[in-house]
Amino acid sequence: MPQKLTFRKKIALELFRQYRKNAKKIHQLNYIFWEATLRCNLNCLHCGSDCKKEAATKDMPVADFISAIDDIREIVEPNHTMVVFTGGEPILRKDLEICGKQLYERGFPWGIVSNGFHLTHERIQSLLNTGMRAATISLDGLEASHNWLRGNKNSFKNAVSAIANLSKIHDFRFDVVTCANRKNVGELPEIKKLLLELGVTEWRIFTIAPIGRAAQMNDLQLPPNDFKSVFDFIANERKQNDLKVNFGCEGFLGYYEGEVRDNLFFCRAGINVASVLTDGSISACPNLRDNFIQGNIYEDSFREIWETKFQLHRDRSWAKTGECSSCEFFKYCEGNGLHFHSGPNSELSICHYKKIQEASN
Amino acid sequence: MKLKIAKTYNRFIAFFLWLLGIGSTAALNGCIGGYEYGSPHADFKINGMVTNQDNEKIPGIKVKVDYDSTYTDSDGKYNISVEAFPKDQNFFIQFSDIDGGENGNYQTLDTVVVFVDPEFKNGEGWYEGETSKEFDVKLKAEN
Repeated sequence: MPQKLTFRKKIALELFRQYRKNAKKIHQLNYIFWEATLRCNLNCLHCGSDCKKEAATKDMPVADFISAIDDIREIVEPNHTMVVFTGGEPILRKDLEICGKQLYERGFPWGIVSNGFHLTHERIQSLLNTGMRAATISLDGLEASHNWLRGNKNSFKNAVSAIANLSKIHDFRFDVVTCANRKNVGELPEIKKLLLELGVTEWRIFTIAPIGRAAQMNDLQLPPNDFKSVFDFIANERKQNDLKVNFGCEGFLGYYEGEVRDNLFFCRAGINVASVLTDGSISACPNLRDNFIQGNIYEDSFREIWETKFQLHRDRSWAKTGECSSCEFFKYCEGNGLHFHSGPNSELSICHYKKIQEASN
Repeated sequence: MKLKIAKTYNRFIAFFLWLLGIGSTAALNGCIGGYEYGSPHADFKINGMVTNQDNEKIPGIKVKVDYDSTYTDSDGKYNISVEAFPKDQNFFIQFSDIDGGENGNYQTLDTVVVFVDPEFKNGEGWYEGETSKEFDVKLKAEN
């Protein structure tokens, strides 16, 4: 039988619904992704960006991104606005430190999302010297399964080395991200053991979204029972208090809301989160498709776009279609994360709640 | 004005959610991790004594702030530290009696510790250091 929402959770979800409504009104930008490059040193099976070693789109000059940051500076609190370098693999850019230093001088905290492959001790020190305060490193399994997904026989060794180096840094916030798939779902307890040995304190687990290359590979999608087992694993591990485990920011999870994440489900794309993509496009979360793009820093003011656009991100009523149209939980979910839609007004590609129910029945 | 009301409203909601055991102020504000993720930060140290209404010290009381918790020692004293943004802060704090009747039975107390214009010491870079506050409480006996 499916596990039902308790009275306590129902109250919490109703309160949080109002919280979300207020957050949409406030529309405070506090998280900016910069797609620093589309180049990548790996060839991951699940890549959401379809990155290549040599990308067709050239890297954006640092000065252009900083100019966009200066444009938006008056409507954000820099110290409360995180800038995250993503990609591609941002570490391939040799001028990240120049960008980081300029952000630091403007009061913006910044961090990176990296596969860790080229994140050597020396490069970490260089980034720290220019103000890097946070990092997220991907580790998608034990050696064989990680290397399989990442398409490189040395990727596990290098990622583990980067994680070990980051763990030693005093006063530095970082976490490890794992994309659960058919190959690694049974390894989660062993991965946790490894992370504890490496000195990691925070771990986030995602499932693999059917976008980018992963859209062509059904093998990467977990069957319902394995899918549900991920949440049982996280809920149980959170009780152990030895490692802070969270499920990523995807999907309304029914009974598991409040059990597997620090917060309740809320896709903040376009509500608190914006992205500047390599070609200058202004979007919300960098995982969104092109048709969610709201402007371009080479043609528009970043500030004006944030203040006047992003309507479809703040009003998700368009998502109440297809299987969502009759769902009793749409008011809490609002059509899952936007990256699970091929575009505005499109139907949902995967419903987390429904998949959990399939396993429960 | 409307935005100010919405912000205040959300702070209340965050508090009630915390009482329900879901979310923390940091988790409710952030996308990846808390909003303090890699930003300037400081340690807010809270220490004090837990007594009953007859001024007797109570050991073994669980003290919880966000995701951290500790217990009062044999003298009813506790110390707990929270990492947060270096500015005025309100922390929800809970005192609960979880050891059964061993040291008496007391009602759970949910309250707020307020830091106004905190002074930070021993900081470096974006770590602005630490500040502390004495916070003594009295617990009511269970009816």
